[in-house]
Amino acid sequence: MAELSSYSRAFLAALASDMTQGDRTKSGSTSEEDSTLQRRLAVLSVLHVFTLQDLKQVDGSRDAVAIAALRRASYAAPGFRELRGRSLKPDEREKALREIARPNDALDLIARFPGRIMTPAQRFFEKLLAGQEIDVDKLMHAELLALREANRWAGYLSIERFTESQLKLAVENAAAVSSIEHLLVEEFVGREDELNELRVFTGILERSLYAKVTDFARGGENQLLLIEGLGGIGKTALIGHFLFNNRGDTDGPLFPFAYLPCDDSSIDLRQGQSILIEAAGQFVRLVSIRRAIVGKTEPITVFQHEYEGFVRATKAYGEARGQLTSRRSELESQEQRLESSRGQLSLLADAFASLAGAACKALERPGGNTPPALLFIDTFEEVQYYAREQLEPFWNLFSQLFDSSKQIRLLISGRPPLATVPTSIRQSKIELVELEPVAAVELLHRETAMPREALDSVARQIGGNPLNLRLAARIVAEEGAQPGKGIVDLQTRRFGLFRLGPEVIRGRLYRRLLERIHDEDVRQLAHPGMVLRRVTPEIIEKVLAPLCGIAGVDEKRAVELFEALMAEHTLVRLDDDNSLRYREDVRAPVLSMLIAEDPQQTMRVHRLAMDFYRPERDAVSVAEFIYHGLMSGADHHSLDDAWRPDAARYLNTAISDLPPEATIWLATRMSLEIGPELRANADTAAWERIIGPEVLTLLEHRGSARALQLLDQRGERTPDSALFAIEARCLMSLGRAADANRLLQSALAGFPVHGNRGRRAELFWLLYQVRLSQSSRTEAIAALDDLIEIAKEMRSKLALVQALVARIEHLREEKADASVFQGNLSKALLELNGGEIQREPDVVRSGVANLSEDAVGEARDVIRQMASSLFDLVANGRLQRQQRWIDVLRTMLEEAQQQPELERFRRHGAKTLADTAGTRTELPSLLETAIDAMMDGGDGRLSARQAYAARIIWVILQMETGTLKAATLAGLDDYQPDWRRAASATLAAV
Amino acid sequence: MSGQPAPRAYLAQLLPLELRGKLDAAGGPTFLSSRTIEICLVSGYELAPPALQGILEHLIAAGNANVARFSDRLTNPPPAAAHPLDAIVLSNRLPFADRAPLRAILRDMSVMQSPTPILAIGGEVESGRSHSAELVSHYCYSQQDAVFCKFALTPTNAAESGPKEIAVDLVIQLGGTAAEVPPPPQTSNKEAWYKELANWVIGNANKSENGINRRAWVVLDGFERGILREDTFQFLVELQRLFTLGVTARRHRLIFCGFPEELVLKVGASAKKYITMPLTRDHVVEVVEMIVAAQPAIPQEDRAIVMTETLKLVLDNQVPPFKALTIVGERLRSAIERAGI
Repeated sequence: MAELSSYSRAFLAALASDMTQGDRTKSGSTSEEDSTLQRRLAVLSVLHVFTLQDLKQVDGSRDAVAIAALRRASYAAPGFRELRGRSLKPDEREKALREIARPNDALDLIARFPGRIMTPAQRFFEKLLAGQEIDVDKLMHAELLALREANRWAGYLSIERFTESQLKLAVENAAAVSSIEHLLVEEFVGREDELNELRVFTGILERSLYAKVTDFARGGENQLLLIEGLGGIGKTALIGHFLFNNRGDTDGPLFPFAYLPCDDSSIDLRQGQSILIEAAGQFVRLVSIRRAIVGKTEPITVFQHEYEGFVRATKAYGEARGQLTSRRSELESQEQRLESSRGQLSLLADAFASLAGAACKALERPGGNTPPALLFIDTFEEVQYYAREQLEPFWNLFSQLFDSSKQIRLLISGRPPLATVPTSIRQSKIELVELEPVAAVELLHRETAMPREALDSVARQIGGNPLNLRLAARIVAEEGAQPGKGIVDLQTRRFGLFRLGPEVIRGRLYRRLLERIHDEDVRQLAHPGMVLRRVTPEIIEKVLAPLCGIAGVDEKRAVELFEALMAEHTLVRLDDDNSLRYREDVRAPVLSMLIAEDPQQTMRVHRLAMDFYRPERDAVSVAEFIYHGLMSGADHHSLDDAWRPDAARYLNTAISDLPPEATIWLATRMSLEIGPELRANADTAAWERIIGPEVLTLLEHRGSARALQLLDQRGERTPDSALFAIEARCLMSLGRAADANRLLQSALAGFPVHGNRGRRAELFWLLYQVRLSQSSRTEAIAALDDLIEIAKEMRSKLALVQALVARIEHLREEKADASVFQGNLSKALLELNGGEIQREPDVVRSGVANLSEDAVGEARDVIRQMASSLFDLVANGRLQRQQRWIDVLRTMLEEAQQQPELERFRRHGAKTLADTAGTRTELPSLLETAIDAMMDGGDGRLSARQAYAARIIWVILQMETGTLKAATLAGLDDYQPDWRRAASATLAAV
Repeated sequence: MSGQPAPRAYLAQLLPLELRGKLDAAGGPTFLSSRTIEICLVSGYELAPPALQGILEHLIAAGNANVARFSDRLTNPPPAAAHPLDAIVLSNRLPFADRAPLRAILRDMSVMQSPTPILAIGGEVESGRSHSAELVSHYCYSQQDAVFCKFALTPTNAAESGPKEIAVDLVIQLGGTAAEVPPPPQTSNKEAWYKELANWVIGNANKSENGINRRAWVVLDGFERGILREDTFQFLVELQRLFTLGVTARRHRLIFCGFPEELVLKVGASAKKYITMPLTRDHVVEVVEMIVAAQPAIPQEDRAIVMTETLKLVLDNQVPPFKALTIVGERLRSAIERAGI
């Protein structure tokens, strides 16, 4: 380095020194710091979390060196950021506590901090030091974790209250239960027959000889068990009790199970993969508990391997689904693309079946039988209103799973009529009825601790519905029961003879409970509040308080009332959007009573609620607006205007409340199972709305032929029907091009002059495609030209871009001049907004690829906005190395050699050209360099570097595989009916 | 500050006239001091000289000689990147080389209409997953409406990092207070409580600040399955689901640096994945080029040698691909510091 200038030498020397110093600093603190630190650590080691204030208390010191040293010996205590709380690192704490050595000395030190932070771990530590009682069996999972930590610290002071393995097991078992603990009802009685049936179904109990013979005759054991019963009869409690009592032993879980409630928004039975993914996740957790206890056994390793396979299959399925929303594809027909997606779901199901089998093996006890894998689908009533076609994919999926695995068992619970199950699935059913009188008395006794004989009359009065009995128990516990008569002034029989239905009795019990709410305001609003399905502080302030005549309810008081109502756990639950929702089994009977007793007041609540929700446009508010509108018989036009498809999922549970005409209205929007008579009587527009989503579901999961069958149910269509396009695509998929051509020509001939412009454009696009498939090229291009004219007037220019791309590609094939169309394409691309570019990257990339090479720089903003989609191309292997374009790149990179500002291109480009293996390894770095250059700010003018980068990207885009030929037309969202828009997440492009 | 006017008046006079109005009307000395610095940082290099320069000059005049080197640095602003997500040197002087795909994904996510509210960053241990959070932090720092908050899970703190602790720490960073944390339920139904905690976090993110609707970028670092508590997992299920809904999906972003696969699978297409790749020599070269270029006093004929020697120092004992990013990253950082970028 002798030839370097003094500045350069000094710079390098300083760098070398900085780096050596930096490396050294990492190695630890100085000895001077160590000596002062140890004293402080010893004192602070008795605190789980300490603050600066505590440090000051140790020796009055607040010097920076001490604080810095302590920081290195500790870490920020989770949950104490506000106080800047810290905890000693485990090794530092161990060292310090071992030096203290005696528990009494530790207690003396603790006494020096009267204001210490009392975390659960701190509390347990002090209890252990003081020798106080700790009942491990009563501790929850989080408490056990804290105890385990504190027990370790106590161990450093030679206190051996619990062994590490004892607490580890307790923690693991508590973790296993944590996912189902909310299912558990503390006082569970009776149901022995049903529990035995569950035990047999899951293989825990040996089947009788008779059952074995019957199963043999039917081709095998039952795969599905339906548990049907009215609300409150104890379906979930039965399963909870069963799972809790059979969940595991000291070696961990006994069998893999997954709890899948239909009211969980992450589970959609119409999308089979959501069930499989959720169940797989729950299996992973159970197997990890087993692993923590027994270590990494061979079956556990196999399970992990299967899980990796399942994740891969999920990814492949996701990609296949993504292909459906990606307009560009290597497959040229709709049917091929849908078939590919269906094939991936089938592979995913196979992967899940293998995973379930591996989970069973991983949990199997040495020498024992292989347990089943149990999937429990709860609250099926949430989905049983779906049209049969919507649930068809769900049953298909399980048919496949049952075929692939003998281990999988499905349990479904819901209200009657539960489900129409395909006959090919071997099934049995438990119909849960009311508890026997003895069990009913036992339940009341456990809930109230009163003598059984005093509760006989109450059980006779209430009947055997467990939920009603629990409610009655609350009343009896406070009011007592009259000998021979039960609860005073509670009528549960008609004419003194026939007991009223359980729902009516429940309504009366709730009314009685409502009267016992202490806060008068809460009591007043709780009752009419049940006309509403959800309550927020704002609703209390603006709807309920004025209606109930509660004065002085401002924002603050409304929050207080909300919180008081929230405390009534038997009435309400907190929902995702932080609102309170009345429990449906509570609300339904009370609502019937309210409607019968004071219809005018009920109507007032509905109208006020409509006014409240009217200005809001989010899905939840729209659902509530529509619910109250349907319940109050509001004008359907106002509901038509408000409707949005994503409101449907919030209305599932409302269907049973609705009058018949309201059900019809809803059926035309959310694909409900409705009778054939109603379907036949619906006018054409209503029929199209009912049938549309069902056709799309069948198309996606069962194929074009099945979808056409449904469409054939009626011949007539509305003039600008959205069904024309779907029908034409089905015909094309089945190779019936002539039929499709006829259908499209006839549809276009009858299309209203001022009809829906987007749908007309779509028909021309299809006509172009069908004529092309018939080798009628000239006619096809004529249809394309018609489309281009229509697309120029459309709100989004995406359709125009797509049509122009097709037109330019034809001209290129003919080696004709495309410059006019390319000019139009450039203008259309620049009119796209960011959202459109992100939504339709395939169309936009094709647009950029079809610009003239010189004009591509002008589209730099568009390229910038689609940058991440360019990386996706590389990641998904959608670039095909083509020599012709590699040669163009080579020429361009030679140009770069002459220009210093393009140095980086030359460097990365050289590797790209040398990469003979393909485009996956080195092309990304050239692409990155080009995108980096595009991202450069500058003064807004196109720099030479940017223009060069744009051309590089343009050349790379020429190597993208796939075609838009099998795609639907982009940019139609504003023109489609809501049911097609709702399907656009999965079927937009096919 | 004894002998000086009231803290607010004292601090306000250190600010340029155009920024004084931004200083809060009330608050203790610590709060007001940090607000003063914050105002200067947000103003960045907008004013000439930068607002922070005034404060540093005041401190130099008051005898704080150490401050002089900071002042020098301020007079040489780093090269302006077109977009904060394209920066190679971050505002905290950390290097951030390469990762163009990550930058592109984050750019997409920075747009309100982005269909991706969640990003899951995977990759090998020490491959720089956590380092990705620095770029997000840098981005948030440059945006008026963005707020960055992070919780890092480590083997040391994992056992005590339950739903409540994580929610509280996130809320504190979002400007809330721990006193408002929803109490655990009386019943055994934890699920509702996790929802309540998640709603509480999002509720705090949704609070506007000075009339600006904030966009929260929440980073959860190190949340791999192995050390994750079961209850924390359940809480994350609820929290991440909220990030896919309504206004939260449009405004706020959730980023996992390390994640349990079965968690992210639950939100399907709402989450994008990115796997960190090891740094190559070229990427390091890129940063070193920048360091050397920032030294105009190095003669042209020395530059190639200084480049080579600097590179040797940075990569000493490191074999490509550079997986242990902490070492290379720290060395680059000290070089950046030395170069005064």
